[in-house]
Amino acid sequence: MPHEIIFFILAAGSILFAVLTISSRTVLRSSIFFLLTLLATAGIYLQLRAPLLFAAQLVAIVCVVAAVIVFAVEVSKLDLALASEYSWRPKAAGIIAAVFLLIEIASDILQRRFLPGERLTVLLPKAAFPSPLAAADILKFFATYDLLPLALLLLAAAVGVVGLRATFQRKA
Amino acid sequence: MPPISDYLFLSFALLLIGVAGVAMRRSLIIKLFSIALILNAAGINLMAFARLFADANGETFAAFTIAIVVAQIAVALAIIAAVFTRWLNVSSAPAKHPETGTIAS
Repeated sequence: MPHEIIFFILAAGSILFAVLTISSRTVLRSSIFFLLTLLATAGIYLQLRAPLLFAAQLVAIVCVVAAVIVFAVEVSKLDLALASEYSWRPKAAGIIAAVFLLIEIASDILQRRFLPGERLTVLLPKAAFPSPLAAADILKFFATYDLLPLALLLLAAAVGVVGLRATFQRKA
Repeated sequence: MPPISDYLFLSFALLLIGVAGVAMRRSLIIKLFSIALILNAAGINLMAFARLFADANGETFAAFTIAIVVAQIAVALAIIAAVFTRWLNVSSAPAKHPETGTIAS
C-alpha cells in the first residue's frame, strides 16, 4: 500500500506538472514545470527499482537540460517572442488526461474494496503471459490485464486530438 | 507494487498531454518539451514492462530514451536559438522577416 500511495503522488505530480508545462504563458515557467515533471518521472524510476535510470534522469536531464534551458532562455531572450501566445486547449486536454487517471485510481480502489481477490502486480512470471503475436492472444492479453478501457481511451483521445487540431486549424 | 495498468494509464496520460502540446501550441520550445514528455511516457512504459517480464532490455532502452531526450533538447534549442536570431520569432506559424518582409516557411 505505501508503494501505491507513493506511485499515485508521483503520477499525479507528473501529470499536473506536464499540464502546466504545455499551458504556461512563458518559456521560463514552462521549463521549470518541465524539470519538475522529469523529477517526478525520476521518482517513478526509483520506485520501479531502477536506481541507474533515476541517477541518469537526475544528473543528465536535470543538470544538463536546466543549464541549456537557462542559457537559451536567458541569453537569447526567447520569452519576449512568446508573451502573446496562449491557448486554453492544451490545458483542457491535460485536465481530460488527469480525469482519466483519477477514474483509473477510483476504479482500482473500488475493485479492491468490492471485488477482493488476487491483484496483478508488476512482478509476474514470464510464463503467465500469453504471446502477443496472435490476434486472439492480443485480445486475451488485454482482457487478462484489464487493458480494454485503456485501448478505448487511447482511441477516443486520438480522435479527440485530431478533432481539436482540425478545429484549431479552421479558426486559425 | 501497483499493477501494470496503472503505469500504462500514467504513460497514456503523459502521451496525451505531449501530443496535445505538439498539436496545439505554436511555440517551438513548448513543442520540444512536449516531444520530451512523449519520450518520457515511452521510458515509463519500457521500465514498467522491463519489471513485468524481469528483463533488462527494457531498462537499457529506457536509458536510451533519456539520452535521446538530452540530445534532442540540446540540439533543438540551438536550432531554435538560431531561428530566433534570424526571424525574431520562435512560432511554428508562418511569419514575415522583420527586414525583408519575406514569409518564412
